[in-house]
Amino acid sequence: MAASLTIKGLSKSYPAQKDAVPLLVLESMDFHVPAGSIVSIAGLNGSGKTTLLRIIAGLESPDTGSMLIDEKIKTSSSGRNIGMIFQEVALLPWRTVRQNIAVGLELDERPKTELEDLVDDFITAFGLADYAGKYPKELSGGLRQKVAIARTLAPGPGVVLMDEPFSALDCQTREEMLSFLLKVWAKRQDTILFVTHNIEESLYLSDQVLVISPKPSRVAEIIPVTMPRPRDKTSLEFNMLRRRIIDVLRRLSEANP
Amino acid sequence: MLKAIGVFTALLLFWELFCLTQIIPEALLPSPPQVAKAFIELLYTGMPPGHRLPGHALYSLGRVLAGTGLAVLCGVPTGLVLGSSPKLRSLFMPVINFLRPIPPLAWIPLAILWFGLGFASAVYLIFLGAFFPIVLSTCSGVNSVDRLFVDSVRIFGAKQGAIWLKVLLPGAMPSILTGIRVGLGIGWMTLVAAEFTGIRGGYGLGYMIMNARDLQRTDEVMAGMAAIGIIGLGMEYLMGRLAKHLLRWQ
Repeated sequence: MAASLTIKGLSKSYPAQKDAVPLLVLESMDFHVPAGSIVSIAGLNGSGKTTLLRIIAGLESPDTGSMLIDEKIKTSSSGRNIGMIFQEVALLPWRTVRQNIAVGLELDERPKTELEDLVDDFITAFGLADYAGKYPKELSGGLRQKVAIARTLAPGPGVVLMDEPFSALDCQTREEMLSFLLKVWAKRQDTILFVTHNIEESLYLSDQVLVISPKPSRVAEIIPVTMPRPRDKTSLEFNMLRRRIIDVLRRLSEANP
Repeated sequence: MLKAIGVFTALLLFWELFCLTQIIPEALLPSPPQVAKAFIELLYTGMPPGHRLPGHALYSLGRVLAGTGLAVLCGVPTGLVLGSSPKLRSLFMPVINFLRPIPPLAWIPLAILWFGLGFASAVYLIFLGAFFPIVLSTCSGVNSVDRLFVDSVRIFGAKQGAIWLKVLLPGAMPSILTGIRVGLGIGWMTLVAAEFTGIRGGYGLGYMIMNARDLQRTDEVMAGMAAIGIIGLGMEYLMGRLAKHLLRWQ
């Protein structure tokens, strides 16, 4: 069941090395992701986007700030009801496609029949029937990401975090995966927080684009994207928004050389 | 495979030719056919008579499997825990590095004092030989597992036990299997030496070889050694098959 995500005053710094001052990565981040929407975070390389997602996922802890899922404060890493798709495909190489999709459900201690049924549903819906018994090394990059998406969605997370999941794919496969993701989202209406440094990708997918500044990162501008889906990347509106994001990023980059 | 058999045959031929020169007396270095004949004698008559080779081999195998099995049961969890905790590693590695270089054979007097002559002391010595390589291989295997895999299950709320079972154990399996192979080899060497020092039951390949030596049957000593080699080859083959099955994802 899709949930909303609210981040309030989130800051994170890393301890100083030797005589250097502590490195402030995120500074008072505030934003809201409505339930069932796709929100992208666009920023320059090294602006702390991955750190932000890792904190939301509970893999790292913030210095200050809070996180609310469906308006309820979440502190512990467990019970957050969050799924995450990593930049590098993190499928377990010793598990087959079927076993990888099942891993979250096993940890959720779902009854065996429910687990089997859910895995079967995802294998069918994602067109993975021919690959169910194969190991990740036997799959193409696009198929691996499909499995990673299925694995993340199978336990039914309230919020899905995606950390540049298609950055390692070639152009053609990336386009296919973007369409595939939108098709899945149209059916399920998951809440997705998508990190990317590809502006086209963020405009193609999202209801909102949060442009973040270089370190220490904060939300510099929220750009709503109201174009109907599927979006035409050659349309005037698409390119005007693209130009607007580029301008914001350029301004931010010049302000923080 | 054929090439390996060729090399093996060539070595046997060289040995036979060397024996024909009679540089070393036959009583000290019997020829391959004499060793083969002794091997058949050991199979049917035994050393001492009535204690036949299959019985000796089975007793020895039982001791090796019990000692190495115990080492796997204790060594793999120890390696998993030490591999995933730098704090525990810094506490316990100095102890392991202190105990590890002590040869298992140096423990023989203590093993006999603590467990007496027989099965328990042999198993204890084999355990000591196999335990440390298994711990160290498991530990290094755990360290080589990509942290991304750990994160990928932590995101689902996995606790430490699940992380060990679902990520660290399978991820470290290639190293664990290498450790077990090394441990089995050391266990086997330790066993034969332990059987030299006395086995009450009257069975064991080491015991059989010592008996043959006492009767100056060099041919039977070498046939016993060949039996150990054959069992070693068989175990290596089985371990290879097991590794191929468990690591088919690689």
